[in-house]
Amino acid sequence: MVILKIAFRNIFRQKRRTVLTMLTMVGGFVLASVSIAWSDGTYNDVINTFTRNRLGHIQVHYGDYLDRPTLYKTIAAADQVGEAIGQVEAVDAWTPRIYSAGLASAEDETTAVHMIGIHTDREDRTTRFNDKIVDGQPFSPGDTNAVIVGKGLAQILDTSVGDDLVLLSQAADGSLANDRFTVRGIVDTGEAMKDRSDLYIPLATAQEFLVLQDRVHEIVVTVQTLGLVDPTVTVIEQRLSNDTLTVLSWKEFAKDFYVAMRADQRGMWITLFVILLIVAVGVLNTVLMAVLERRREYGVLKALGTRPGQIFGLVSWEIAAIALAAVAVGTIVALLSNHLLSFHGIRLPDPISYGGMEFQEMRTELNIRSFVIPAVTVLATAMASALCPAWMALRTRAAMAMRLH
Amino acid sequence: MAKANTAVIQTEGLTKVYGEDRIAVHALRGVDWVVEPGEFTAVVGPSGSGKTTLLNVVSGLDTPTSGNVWLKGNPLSGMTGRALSDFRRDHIGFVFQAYNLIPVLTAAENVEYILLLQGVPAEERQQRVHELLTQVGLEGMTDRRPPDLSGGQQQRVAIARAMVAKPSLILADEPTANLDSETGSQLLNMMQALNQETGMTFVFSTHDRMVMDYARRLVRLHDGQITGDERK
Amino acid sequence: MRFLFCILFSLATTVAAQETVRTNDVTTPDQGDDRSPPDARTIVEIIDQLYRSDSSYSEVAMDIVTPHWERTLEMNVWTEGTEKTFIRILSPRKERGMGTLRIGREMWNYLPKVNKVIKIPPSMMMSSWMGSDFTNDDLVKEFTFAGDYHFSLVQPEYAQDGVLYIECHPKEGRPIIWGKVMLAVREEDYLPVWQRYYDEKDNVMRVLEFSDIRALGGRRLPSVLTMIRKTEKGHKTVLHYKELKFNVDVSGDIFTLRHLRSRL
Ligand SMILES: Nc1ncnc2c1ncn2[C@@H]1O[C@H](COP(=O)(O)OP(=O)(O)OP(=O)(O)O)[C@@H](O)[C@H]1O
Ligand SMILES: [Mg+2]
Repeated sequence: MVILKIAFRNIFRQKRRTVLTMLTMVGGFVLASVSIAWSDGTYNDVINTFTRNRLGHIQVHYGDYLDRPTLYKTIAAADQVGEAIGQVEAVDAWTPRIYSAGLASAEDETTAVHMIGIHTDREDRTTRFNDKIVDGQPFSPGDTNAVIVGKGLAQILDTSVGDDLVLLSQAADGSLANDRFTVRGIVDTGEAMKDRSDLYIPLATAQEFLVLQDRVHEIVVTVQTLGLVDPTVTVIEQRLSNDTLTVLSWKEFAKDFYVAMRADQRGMWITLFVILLIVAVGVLNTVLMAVLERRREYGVLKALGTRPGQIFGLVSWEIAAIALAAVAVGTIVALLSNHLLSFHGIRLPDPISYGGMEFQEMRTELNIRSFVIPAVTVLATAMASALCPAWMALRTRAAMAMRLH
Repeated sequence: MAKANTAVIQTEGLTKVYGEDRIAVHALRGVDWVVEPGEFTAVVGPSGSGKTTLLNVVSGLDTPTSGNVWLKGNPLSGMTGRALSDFRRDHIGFVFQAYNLIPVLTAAENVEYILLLQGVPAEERQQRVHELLTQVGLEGMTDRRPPDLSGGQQQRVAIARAMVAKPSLILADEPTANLDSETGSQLLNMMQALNQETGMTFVFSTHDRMVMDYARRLVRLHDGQITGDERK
Repeated sequence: MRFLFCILFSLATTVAAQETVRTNDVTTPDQGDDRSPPDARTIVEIIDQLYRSDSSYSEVAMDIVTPHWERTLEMNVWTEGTEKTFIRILSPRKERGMGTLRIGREMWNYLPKVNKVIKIPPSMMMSSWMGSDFTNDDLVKEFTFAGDYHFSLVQPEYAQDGVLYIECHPKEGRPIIWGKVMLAVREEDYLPVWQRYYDEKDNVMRVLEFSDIRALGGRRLPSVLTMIRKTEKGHKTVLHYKELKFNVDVSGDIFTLRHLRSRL
């Protein structure tokens, strides 16, 4: 079609303007793409650190344990429940836990502690627990009277690896559980508050100590990717088919955190909107200039019998072609920069703290939406900003145009 | 309101006012005019007398303030923008004073343009484009773009383009204004020949004596009014 | 909660106070119709001193009932003045030999299994003592109704014949967590029937019921005390006094950490 031919020739006629328009669009595209990839990367980083560190993506409890925990709200036959969860395809790892309040007494110091019974190797597979041990050793299978204490708690108790501790708690049968334990390791989870009260003991020991038999308070589950969390909750619920058990995703059991993350994402959309607004204004400006400059040409085309719709199409095609090229170039540039930033994150001068954890390196995540969203928006804003000039072109009064000698 | 089909152009009480109130310019003031098929007519008058305005209004490029125009018996006032475009495409050829080629298209493509809009098959297009460019003496320059052509050559392309679709009316607004007299007379000879061979109607606006000499009818325009109409 | 303390561990008290009680003890029972009209101060003083003496020794069974389990602890208790308490648990087997020593506001528990004495940190004072419905704090507080509360005789809607009711409000500046305490005593001998502990919003938090009046240590006293926590459904602790002696010989090293650490 001749209109298309003219459109393309026009693109190459005004090389400088074309390049300028394209640069505006490419810049906008890359900026939008990087900020989405960055936001997604940081978002996932924060969530993963937050959930993988301790909470997991999914938690299973008995009834309303999470809201009103007691020693007696337990998941019976925890191993079978866990195995059933482990068979769900998307599940990466699972680990059972027991929680109880108690008193820990070292040589001279005595303090209230939050006892956590953890599985000697499942815990590490699920939350990389052993990576956080800063002194001493992790639990090994078959460990009985060993404890790993939080860093802050170790200071409060003035105890170190190899020392003895006495733990005192009330068992599920009402008896006063008390026994002597050896400090096997000291753990720094990054959550200083919790490390001042948390004390870990092997799950089997905790079950015996607290007379809980095969019961646990919590099963923590991680899945392969964040996107799989919600469907996996449903699958687990179906597999367990047990009304007394509550299966929750991190969005529910860490609601405050989730809400904060959502608010953060909203901020990202506002940034994106501003970027695209700038792109749109830039495109509008260059296209408008081009159209005004060529009014005479449109007048001639009109005099020759070109229909108004065809003139509208001519301008639109010019912009569409430039925008498509810009998206192509932008995709390459953004792919490179996003790829690069996904390895070499940008180090912040000061770490930002989020949910008790600190983040200093911001990385991008390579994903499809960080290209699709900018592509769609750049094309859409380019076409939207072309509308006005195109309309002006088609409304060009041929008679007026002809007089502009 | 349809008029007798014989006239190519017919106007009745045509006025055109630019602007409003005190700065209003009355470019046309009640023009009644008929152009019959096969005429070779020049509209003459001093600068600012309304020649360009008349041609623009007559071809539907501009709308009159009042009065009516019929082209081959069709009232312009009843036509949509699209119908008007199609009418121009099929019935009117234009030659403007200057710069009336599409700069990004070659001479041949400029001429071909209207045929493309009309949907003429490729083979016929090539043939007619070649035929016309030869006729205006531009055989070797068909692939040049307007910037690479002289003013006279550009006007020849414009005339070839105006005639390629075999319109019944050709409107030429000062076609020779930017040309030397030799080139001008060559073009006029060419147009005269076409007029005689094909019976195409030609209407010029001009203040060029030479054009007046060629014309067989002179319509004098003064301050937007016809003040004289002589046939030779 | 000094009152609980008194009951639980039969505290001794000042000689002067004791004299008053003695007088009352002699004068209150069975005075017949020519008894003077009941006086709130007299009654709270009797309640305050009911289980007190310079020193005491008692044998107590403590039934603890929860929705999840029930168990009975048997123990021997020694007291000296308001300052010192020593408790040794005899059964069940798992807890046998455990002990608690209190001197003033300090408390230690002894765990024979690990041969360790643990000093109760201040942050743990509000937790349960040995899994019962009493807190560690209940053992160390030393308030008296006569000294630390404003009190007056009242006639509540639920009043029954033969029972007197006294409403007690803590005095300004006393570290007392209750908004109000209601005492119900028998009109005939001023022995306690129940005590209700309210929070600031007038909700009943705990109820202590007295029953089974017997001769104990030369006095007529309720020998069964039931503590019901209204905040936890299905929880209660019942104390049975099997033996109670006042003004016993507590010389020697009963109230020492060395004694606490000694095995049964
Ligand atoms: N768009 C416009 N706005 C206002 N006045 C205009 C406009 N176009 C033309 N005019 C005025 O209308 C009158 C007629 O102009 P027109 O161009 O038709 O004259 P012309 O005879 O073609 O003159 P020339 O020989 O110089 O081309 C002039 O006075 C001109 O200034
Ligand atoms: Mg003119």
